[in-house]
Amino acid sequence: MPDAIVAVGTAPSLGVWDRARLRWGENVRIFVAGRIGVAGVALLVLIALFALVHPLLLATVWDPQIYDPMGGFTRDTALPAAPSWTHPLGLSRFGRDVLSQLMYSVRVAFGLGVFAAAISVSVGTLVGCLAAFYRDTLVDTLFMRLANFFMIFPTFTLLVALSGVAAIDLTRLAIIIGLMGGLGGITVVLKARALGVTVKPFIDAARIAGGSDLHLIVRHVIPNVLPLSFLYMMFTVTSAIFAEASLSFFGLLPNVRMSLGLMINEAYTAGYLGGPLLARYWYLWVPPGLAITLLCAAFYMIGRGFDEVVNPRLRERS
Amino acid sequence: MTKYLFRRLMQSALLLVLVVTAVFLIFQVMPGDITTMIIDPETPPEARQALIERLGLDRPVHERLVIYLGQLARGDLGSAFPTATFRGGRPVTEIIIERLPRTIILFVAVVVLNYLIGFLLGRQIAWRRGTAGEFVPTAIGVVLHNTFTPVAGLVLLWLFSLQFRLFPFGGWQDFAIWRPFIERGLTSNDVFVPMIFSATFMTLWALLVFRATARMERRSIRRAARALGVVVCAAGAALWWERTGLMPLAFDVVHHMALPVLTLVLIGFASPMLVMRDSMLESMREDFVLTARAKGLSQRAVRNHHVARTALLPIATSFALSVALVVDGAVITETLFSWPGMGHALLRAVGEKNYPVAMGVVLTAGVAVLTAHLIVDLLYALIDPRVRHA
Amino acid sequence: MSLLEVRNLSVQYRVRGGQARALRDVSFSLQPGEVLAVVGESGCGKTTLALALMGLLPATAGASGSVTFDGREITTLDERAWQTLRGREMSMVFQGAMNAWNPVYPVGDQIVEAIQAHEPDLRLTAARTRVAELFASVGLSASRMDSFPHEYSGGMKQRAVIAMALACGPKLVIADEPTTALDVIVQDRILRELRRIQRERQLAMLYISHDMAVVAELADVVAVMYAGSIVEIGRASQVFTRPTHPYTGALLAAAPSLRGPRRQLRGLGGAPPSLVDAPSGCRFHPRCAAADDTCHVADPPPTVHRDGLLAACWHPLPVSSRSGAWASDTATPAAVLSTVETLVDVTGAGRLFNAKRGLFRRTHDVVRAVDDATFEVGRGEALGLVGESGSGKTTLGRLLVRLDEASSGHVRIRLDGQLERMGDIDRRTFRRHVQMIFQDPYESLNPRMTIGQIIAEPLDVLSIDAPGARADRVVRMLERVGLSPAAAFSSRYPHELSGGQRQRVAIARAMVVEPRFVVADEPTSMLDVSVRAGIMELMIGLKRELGISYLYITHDLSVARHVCDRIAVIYRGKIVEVGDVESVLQRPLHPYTQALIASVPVPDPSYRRPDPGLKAEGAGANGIADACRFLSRCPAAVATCGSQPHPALLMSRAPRHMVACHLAEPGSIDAHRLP
Repeated sequence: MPDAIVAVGTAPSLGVWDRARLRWGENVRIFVAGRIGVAGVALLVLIALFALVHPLLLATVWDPQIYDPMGGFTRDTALPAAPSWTHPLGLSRFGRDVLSQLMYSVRVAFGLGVFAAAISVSVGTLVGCLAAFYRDTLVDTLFMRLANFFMIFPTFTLLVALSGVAAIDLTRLAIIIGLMGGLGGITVVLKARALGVTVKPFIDAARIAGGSDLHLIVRHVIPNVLPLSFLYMMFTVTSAIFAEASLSFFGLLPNVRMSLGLMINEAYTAGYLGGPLLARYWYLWVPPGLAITLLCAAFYMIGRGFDEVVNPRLRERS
Repeated sequence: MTKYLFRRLMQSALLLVLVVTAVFLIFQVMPGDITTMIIDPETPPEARQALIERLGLDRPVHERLVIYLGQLARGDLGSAFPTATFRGGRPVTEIIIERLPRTIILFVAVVVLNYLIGFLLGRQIAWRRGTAGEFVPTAIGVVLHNTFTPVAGLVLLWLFSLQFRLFPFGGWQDFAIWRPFIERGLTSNDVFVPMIFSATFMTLWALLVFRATARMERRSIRRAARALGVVVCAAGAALWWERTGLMPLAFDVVHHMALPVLTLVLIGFASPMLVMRDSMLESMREDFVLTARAKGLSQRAVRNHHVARTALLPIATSFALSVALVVDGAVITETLFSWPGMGHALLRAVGEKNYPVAMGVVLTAGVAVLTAHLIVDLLYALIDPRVRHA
Repeated sequence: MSLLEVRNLSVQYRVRGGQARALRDVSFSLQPGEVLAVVGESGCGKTTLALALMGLLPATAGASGSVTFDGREITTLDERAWQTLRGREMSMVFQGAMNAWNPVYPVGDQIVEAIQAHEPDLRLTAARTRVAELFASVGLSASRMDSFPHEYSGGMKQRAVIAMALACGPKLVIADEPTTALDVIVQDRILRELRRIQRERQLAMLYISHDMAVVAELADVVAVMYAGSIVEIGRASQVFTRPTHPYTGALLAAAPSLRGPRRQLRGLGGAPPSLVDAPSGCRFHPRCAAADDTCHVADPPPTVHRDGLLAACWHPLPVSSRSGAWASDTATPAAVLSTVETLVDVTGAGRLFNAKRGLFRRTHDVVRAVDDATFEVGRGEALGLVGESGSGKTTLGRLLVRLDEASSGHVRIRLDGQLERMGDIDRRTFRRHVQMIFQDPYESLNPRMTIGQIIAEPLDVLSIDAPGARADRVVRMLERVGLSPAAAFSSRYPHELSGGQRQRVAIARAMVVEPRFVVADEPTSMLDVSVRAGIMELMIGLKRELGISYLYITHDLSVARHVCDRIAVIYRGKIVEVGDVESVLQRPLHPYTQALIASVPVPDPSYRRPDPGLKAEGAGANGIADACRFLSRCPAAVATCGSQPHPALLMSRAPRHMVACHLAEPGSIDAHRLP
C-alpha cells in the first residue's frame, strides 16, 4: 500500500462551470482587482450599446430620408446647424444628422479595429510560436528580420505612401494594418514568450509522451502564449482606429464613405474648424474626437487590465 | 564589444536593403501605370518615350531595382513633378536637405521632452504604487494618449494662439524678422542646423552633469552642482548664439515650434511614463533591491541607483520603437501647423500625386529611423554590460 | 547578556482570504559568538523570521512582540534608524546569491557602496583596500573586484555575498540558506570558510537551512520550526541524538545518509498547513503518528525537557526510541542482482556541443558534454548517475530518452527480445517503453491542463487502449501513486497541488504507459526533505511491482545510496567509476568519488569530517590535451597522469566495480578512505 495517502477532503467531481471558474477564476480575479480593466470593459459595453442602438432607431423613430448617415439630409435651416431637439448633435454642412453619423461611424470603427486586431493576433501568435519552436533556423531568422523591418518603419508614413499609390477601402486597410502589426513588434514579444514556454520541462515531457511537433505547438505552446496575444490585440485595435481616422482626416481614403475621421475631415476642409470658428462649430468635431478617445481609451484600459494578468510582477502586492 | 558592433552594423545593412526594396516595391510595382509615377504627366509623347527608355522603365522589375539602387548610390532621388507645393524639376535631394533639419529639430525636442517627463514621472508614480499619486498622472496620461492628434492640435491652436495669444497661428517664421537676413543670402538651414547641434549638445551636457552628481548624498551640494551645470550650459549657449548674430531667428523658430511640440508631447508622454513605471515595478521586485536595502542604503539611493538604473534598460528598447511613432506624429502635426518639414512634404506630395517627392521622403524616413535604431542599440551596449560581453 | 533576544514575535500577512500567520510567538535568544541554526521546510516561516529581524518585512505584514538587539528594542525603529543598523551591526546573506547582485555594476563597487553607506568619510581607496582584504578572506582573488556579476560563477557569487555581509564588521550575520543551490563540493568549501570566519571574528550567526546535515556540522544551538512556530530548540548534540518533538524525529528519519546502515526511510504524509487556515490545536497533528484529541484541540506550549531543551508537544518522543538519527527500521537489503539481462547497453556515447564564437558564428570551441560513456542497465535494476552540475548527467539522460541525438557511440535497448540500436526502433514503440521524470515539479506540468488530461496525454498520443478504457487507467494510476480519491484530483489544475503531489503526478504520467525503462532526472531535489522520502519509496515500490529499470540521475550521494542498486559517477562528461552501490560508497577507488563522499555533510554533530583536499578549480596543472579530466583538481595526481591520455574505464579488483584512473590500476595506492 502506498505509504503516503493524501486526502483532500471528499470533493465531488467538478462540473464544467466549476472547472472553468477554477481555470480562469484566478485570472479573472486579478483582472477585476486591477480596476482599470473593469472600467475599460464597462466603457466598451456602453459604447457598443451606443452603436447598436443605431439600426433600431433608423427602423423606428428616425426617418431614413433625413437621418441616414450617408444619404439623409435636411435643408430647412442654415447649415451647419447647431444642436436642437430633433437633431441632438446638430447638422453637418451637408445637412446630415451628426448623431446618426456618429453612431454609424462608431460601428465602423469597432468593426475595423476588431478585424485588424484579429488578423494581427492570429498572424503574430502563429509566427511567434513557429519562430520560437524552430529557433535559429531559416524560418526564425526570416521572420525576425521581417519583424525588425516592420518595427522600424513608421507605419503611418507607410500607410500614407500606400494610399497614394492604391485605392484603399476599409477592408483592405484592416488587412494591411493587421499584417503590419502581426508581423512587426508583436512577433518579437510573442516569440520571446513562446521561447520561455518551449524551454519548460512540460514541453519535453509532452515530447516524451510521444507528441509530434504539431501536437506540441498547438496543444502546449499556443495556449500558454494566448493571454499575451490578447493583450496586444487591444493595442492593435487602438492603432487601427487612429490610423484610419488620421488617413481620413487628410482625405487619403476616398473609398471610405463614413467614418470618425471623415466627419472631422468634412468640417476641416470646409474651413469650419479654423481659428475662432472652432468653438462655434464644436458639434462638428467634439463628438467624433471624443468618440475616438473614449473608444481607444476603453480598449487601452482593457489591455492594461490584461497586462496585470499576464505579467505577475506588475500586480499590487495583495 | 566590437563583435557586437559589427553584428549590429551587418543587421542594419541588411535592413537598409529591405527598406530600399520596400520603397521601390511600393512605388514602382504597385498596380497602375508606373510611368505616371516617375515621369511628369505634362511631358509631350516623344520626350516621354525617350525618357522611358533612358530611365529603363520598360525593363523587367529586377533590372529596374538595380537601376534604382544605382541612382541611389549616386545620390539621385529624381526630380519633383510640377505641382502646387513643389517646383517642377527641382531635385528631390535638394528638397529633402532643405526640409530635413526642420523635422529633426521638432523630433529632437519632442523625444527629449517625452522621455524626460516620462522618466521622471514614471519613477515617481512607481514608487507611489496604489495611491492617488499614481492614479492621477496615469489617468491623465491615458486620456491624452488616446486623443486624436489633429483634434488636440486644433484645440491647442485655438487655446494658445487665439485665446491667449501666446504663440503664432501655425507657420514657422515671422517673415518680418527673417527678411533682412534672407536678403543677405541666409537659408533656413543656416539656422536650423546649428539649432540641432545646440540642442543635442545641451542635452548631452545635462545628462553628463546629472550622472556625475548622482552619487552625491548631500542634497544641498547636489542641487548646487546641478544648478551650476545648467547655468554654465545656458550661458555658454547664449554666448555662442550671440556671436553668430542669429539669436532672434532662433528664438523665432522656437516660438513657432512650441505648439507643435506641445501637441506631440502631451499626447506622447504617457507612453514612456507607463513603460518606466512598469519597468520600475519589475525592477523593484528583484532580489538585488532587497540586498541593497539590507546593506543599509537610503530609500533614495535604492530607488535611484538600483531600481531606476536597471529599469532604464527596457526604456532604451521602447525608445528605439518610439522613434517610428514620433515620425508618424510629425507627419500629422507638421501639416496641421503648416510647418514645412518632411511630414508636410509627404502629405502634400501624396495628395498632389508628386511621386518622386513622396518616394524620396519615405526612403529618407526609413533610413533615418534605421540610423536612430542603430545609435540606440550602441548606447544600450554602453549601459548594459551584459550585452557588451555577450 | 544575549546579543539577540526575541520574545513572542508574531508576524502576519494580509492575503486574499484573510491573514496568513507566518510567525507565532517565536522566542529565543542568541549569545555573542554563538551559531543558532533554524531548521524547517518550505512555509515554516524561517525566511519571514530573517526578514523580520532585519526590518525588511513588506508593507502588507504586521508584526508584534519584542526583539532586542544589543540591548536595544528594534521592533519600533523607524526606517532611518534601521538604515544605520542594517549592514553595519547586523547583516544578511541571502538565499540565491545569484540574484543578489545588480547586473550593471561591478561586484567590488557594490561592496564599496555598502561600506560608504556606513562610513561616508572613508576615502575611496581605503574602502577598496578593505574590499580586497575581504575578498582574500573568503577565498576570492582581489583581481576580480572590478568584474561584473555575470562573469562570476555561482560559488564565487556566494563568497562575494559573504564578503559583503562582513564588510562593516557586524556582530550578527543572518544567513538564509546560503549554500542551497551549490554543488556539494563547493558547498563544503564555503561551509568551511564560513566556520573559520565565524570562529576568527567571534560572530554570532543565525543560520537558516532545511538541510539537517549541514546544520549538524555548523550549529551550536538548533531551533526546529514548523508552521510558524518553534517546535523544538536545544543544543545541537541533544536535538540530533535525542530529538523530543515528533517532527524533529520525522525530519531525522526522512533524511538518507551515507553513514550507518541502509534503512527504510519514513516520510511524512501530507503537506505543511496553509498559514491562513491552519489546523486547530497543534498545527502538526494532522501529520503526526502520536496525535490524539488533546492535540486536536489545544496548542502545546513550549516545555522544558532535560538539559534545557525546549519542545512544544503533548506527546514527546519517549526516551527509549530516541536513539538518534540511526534509528533503523528493517534495513533494506540491497537487491542482489547476480545474473541479470541487460536492458540498456550504452557504448562510447558522446555528445558534442559547438560553442559558436567569432564574428560569423564559426565553431570555435567544442564542448564535450558527454564523452565516451559506456555502461549497462539491467532489467529491473536502478542505476544511479551521480555528478555535479555541468557534469553532463542531464545530457546523458536526455540521450537515453531520445530527446537529443548522440554525436558518437550508440545506445542499444532490448524491447523485443533483442538488443536493438535506438535509432532503429520505431519512435512510437520507443516512447511507449522509455519514459522520463523531470526535476522541477512546478514546470514539468502544463499549467493549462488538468491532472487527468496530463496523465492521459501519453495514452491519447500513443493510442494505447480503447478511448473508454483510458480513463480507468488514469484513475488506477492516480490511486497507485497515492493521490486519492482519484476523481477529486483528476479535475484539478497543477497550481492547486503541492510540490510533492505534483511530482507524484509526473510519476503517474511516466508510469501510465507501463514502460520498461525510466530516466529520472533529480526527481526529489526540489522537494522538501520530509516529502522526498515518500517519493523515493514510491519509486522503489513501483520498480519492484512493475519490474522497471531506472537511470536515477542525482547529485546527492545519500539519495543514490538509498534508491539505487548500482552507481555510476560522472565528472565533466566522463564516467569515472561504476559499481554496486555499497562497493562504490564504502570503498571508492577514484579520487573524485572519494572527494564527493568526503564532501557530503553528515547529520551527526559529534563527527568531524576531514577535508576532502581537492585543489581549487584551475589550480593544478592540466597536462596534455587529452589527459585525465580530473587532473587539475586531483589531490593524488602524479607526474605520469599528465602525460597519458584519459584513463579508460577498466575493471578493478573489486567485483563488478570499474574505475577510470591511472592510480587504481593494479599495483597503485588509494589516497583517501572513509574511516
